[in-house]
Amino acid sequence: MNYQAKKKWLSSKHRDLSKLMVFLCACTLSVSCMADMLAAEKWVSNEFKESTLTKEQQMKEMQWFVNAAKPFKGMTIRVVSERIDTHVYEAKVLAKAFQEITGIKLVHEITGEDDVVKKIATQSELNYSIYDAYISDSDLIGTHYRSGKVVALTDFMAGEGKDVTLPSLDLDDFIGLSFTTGPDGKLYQLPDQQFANLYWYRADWFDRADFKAHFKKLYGYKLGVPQNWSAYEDIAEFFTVHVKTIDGKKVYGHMDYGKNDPSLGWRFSDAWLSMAGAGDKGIPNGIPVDEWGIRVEGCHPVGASVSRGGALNGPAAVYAITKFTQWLNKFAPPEAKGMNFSQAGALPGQGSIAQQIFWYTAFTAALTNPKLPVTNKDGSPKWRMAPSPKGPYWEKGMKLGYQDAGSWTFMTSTPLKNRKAAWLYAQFVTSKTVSLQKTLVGLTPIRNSDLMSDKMTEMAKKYGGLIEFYRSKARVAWTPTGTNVPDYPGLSDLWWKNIALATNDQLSPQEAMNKMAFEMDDRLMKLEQKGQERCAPKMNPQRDESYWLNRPGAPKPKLANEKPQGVTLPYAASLEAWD
Amino acid sequence: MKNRFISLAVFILSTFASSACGTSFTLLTEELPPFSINNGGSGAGVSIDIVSQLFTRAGFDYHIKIVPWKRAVVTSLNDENTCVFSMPRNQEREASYHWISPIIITQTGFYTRDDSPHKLVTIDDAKGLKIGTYNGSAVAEYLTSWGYEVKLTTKDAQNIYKLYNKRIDVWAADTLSAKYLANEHKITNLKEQLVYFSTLRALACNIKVSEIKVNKLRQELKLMYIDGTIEKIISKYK
Repeated sequence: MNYQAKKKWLSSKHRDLSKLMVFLCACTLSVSCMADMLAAEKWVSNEFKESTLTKEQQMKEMQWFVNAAKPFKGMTIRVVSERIDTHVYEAKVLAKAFQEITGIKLVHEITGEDDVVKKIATQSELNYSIYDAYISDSDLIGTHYRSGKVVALTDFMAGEGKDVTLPSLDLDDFIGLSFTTGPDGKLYQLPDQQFANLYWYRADWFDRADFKAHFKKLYGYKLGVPQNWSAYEDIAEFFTVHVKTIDGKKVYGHMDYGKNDPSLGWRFSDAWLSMAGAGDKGIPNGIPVDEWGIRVEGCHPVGASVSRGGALNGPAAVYAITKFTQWLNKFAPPEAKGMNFSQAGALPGQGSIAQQIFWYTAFTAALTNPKLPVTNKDGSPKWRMAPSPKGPYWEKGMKLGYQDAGSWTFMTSTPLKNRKAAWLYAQFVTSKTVSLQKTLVGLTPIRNSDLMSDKMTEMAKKYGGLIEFYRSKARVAWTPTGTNVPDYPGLSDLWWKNIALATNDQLSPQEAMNKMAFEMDDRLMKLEQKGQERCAPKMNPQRDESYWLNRPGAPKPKLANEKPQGVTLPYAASLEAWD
Repeated sequence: MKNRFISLAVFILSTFASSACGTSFTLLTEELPPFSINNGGSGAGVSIDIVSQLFTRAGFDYHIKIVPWKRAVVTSLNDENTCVFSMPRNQEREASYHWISPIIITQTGFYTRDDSPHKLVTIDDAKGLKIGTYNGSAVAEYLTSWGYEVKLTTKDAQNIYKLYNKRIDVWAADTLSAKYLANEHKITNLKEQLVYFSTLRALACNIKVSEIKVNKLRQELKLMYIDGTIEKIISKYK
C-alpha cells in the first residue's frame, strides 16, 4: 500500500482517528510515521481495548512512542525476565506490538528467576553487557543502590534519558515505588508487575456445617480464617488428621515444599521470619532489624547474628523454622518435601489442599481455570485469599508478608543508546495504554488507576480477594526484601543451603540458624573489607547475646508460650483487617 | 536416543594434558564444535581454550577429556577433583556443583532457509512449526517446556540437512555452532531469524572440590573478562 492508498484507507475507515493521527504526525509527516501509527491503531483497537485512557489518549501516547523511537529504529534490544504469566504476555504479545509500532526489534527472553539474578549479578560484576535491561525483583534494591552499577532512574529521567521519558508515565500512579527507591530517595527501578504472598484456603470446605461443628468440638473455637499461627496449625491438623478424606479423596490441611534447591530459599527470604515476628516494627522492612534478621545502623548493615544485634538465629527465627519443618512433616502431602516452588505451586489447584499459609498471588490466574476442581462451573473460585496469619512474636506495626515487585533495572555497563531504547520498551509495557490489559492477563497490578477502574470492580469476584487486597491500605504491610540486604545475589544462597539442613533433619532448627547467622556475618564482614560504592557493612563487635535480647525490639527473647489460643474470623471480618 | 548410546559405546575419548606436572583436575567436556573440537592432538575450541587458560593462570594441574555428555555429567557428580564444562547453570542443578561462571555466554537462535515463508518475530511465532534440535541439549529442554514441537537428532549437524530437505521448518541452534556448521557444510542460504535466548555456561566442579580452589578459579575467570582474554578467545572462532 502506497502513501496515497494509506491516506485513502484511513479516511474511509477511521475518519476521526485519521484526523488525529495526521495532526499528530504533522511535524514529522512521513510514510514511516503513518505506517507506525497504523500499527498502533491496530494494536489499540484489537489488543489494548481495556484501558483507563480514552482511545484518543491512547493514540496520543502511541504517537509519542513513534516519535521518540525514531533514532533507535532497526536496533535490536534484548531484555530478560522470570517466567510468570505477565512476562510471558510481554514476551509473546507486547514485544511484537512494540516492534511493529516503533521499529525497534525487541527480544524479551524468559527464564527462571534464579537465572535472572545470576545474569544481572554477572553483568554487574564483570561490567560485561549481556542485556539492555532486566526485570529484576526489587528485592535487590539494597544491592543495586550500593553497587553503583545500576542507573538511578531519577537522574536518568531528568538527564540523559529526558528525551525518551514518556510525559504521561505518571509515576505517582505506580503503587510500588517505595520498594524501588534507595535510601538516597532516588528511584532505581520501575515496577513492571507485583504480586503478594497471602493466606489461601478452600472457602467451600470451611463453610461446611459438619466441618464447623467437628472443629468446634475438637478445638473449642470456630473454624474460620486463622488470625494467628496457632489457629493455622489447628486447622492444618484438623484436615490432615481428623477430616482425612473428602468425597473419598485424601485431603491435607497444609501445603508447602522442601526440596534442596534455590527456590527453597525464597520460601524464607520472602518474609517468613517477619511473619513469625522476628524483625522490628516499621514499614517497609523493620527498623533497625529487618526480615532477614539483619540490623542496620544508619544505612550500614552491622550484623545478622544475635551476638551482633541481628535476629537471624534468635528465638523468633528458630520458631519460624521449627514450625515450617513440623508442618511440612506432619500436615502436608508426603511428596511436598521433595518438591520445589514450581512443582508445589500446581498442587492446591488439584483439589486436595484445605489451606496454605504461604501462597503467591501470581498463581491466581492459574487457579481460575474452570476445568480445575477448585473452580465452580460459573468460573468463580471455591477458594479465597485472606490476610496472612501472624506468628506469636509479631507486633502491630510490623510487616506482615511479602510482595514481589519485578522491576525494570538498567545497568551503567549497557551502552547509552541501547539503554534509552530499552527504557522505551519498559515504559511501553507499563504505560496506561497497555497496563490494564496486561493486568487482566497476568493479575499482577502496578497502577492505582487500573486497580480502581470499573473493569477491576467488574472482575473482582473472579479473583478470590485479590482486588480487595490491592485496594486496601494493608498492601503496604506486604513488602519485598528491603535496603538492609547489601548483596542479595551474594547472600541469598545461605537460605536454602542452611534451611535444607533443618528440613532434612541433619541439624536442629537452632543449629541450622546458628550456622547460617555465622556465615551471614562472615560474608557481611568480607563485604565490609571489600567495600561497596556506598553504605557498606560496618560490623558490630560480638557481645554476649543477652545484651541484645534484653533490649527493646529485635532480637526478641524466647516467649514462655509460643502457642497462644487460636483465633479465627469469618472471611468478611478478616478482610476488615486490611483496612 | 538409541544412536546416542551407540556412539557412547564407541567410547570417543581423548585426553589433552596440561604441561604442568600432576593430574589434580579432570576436566570433562563433549565434542561440540566450535566449543570443543577433538582434533586428535591438543584439543581446541572456544571452551577448551578458555578453560585451559583459566587453569594455567590459576596454577592448577589439569587434563581435559572429551567424552559423551551424559558420562561427563555422571562422572563429575561422582568423582572428586572433576569438573564438567560448559554446563548451562540452572536452578535444578545448582545444589549439585560448585560453579565457576560464566565460562562463556552463548546465544540460541532460530534458523530457517532463506526462502522460508515463516517470519519469526517473537518466540511465539515458532508455535506450530517443526523445530529441529539435538537430543539432550538445553535448547530441546527449553523449547519442550514451552510445548513446542521439537524434532530431535543425535548430532546437531543433521539438522542442516533436515532443514534443506524441508523435514523441519526451523533449526534451533547455538549461534556460534550454527555459523560453524553452516561453514563446514558449505551452506550459504541459512537465515538467522531470531536470537531468542542467552545462556550462562559454567565450569561445574564436583561438590567436594575445596572452596579455596573454587574461589581462586572464580577470581582468575573474572580477571580474564576484565583484561579482555575471554573476548579475544571468542573472536578467534567467530
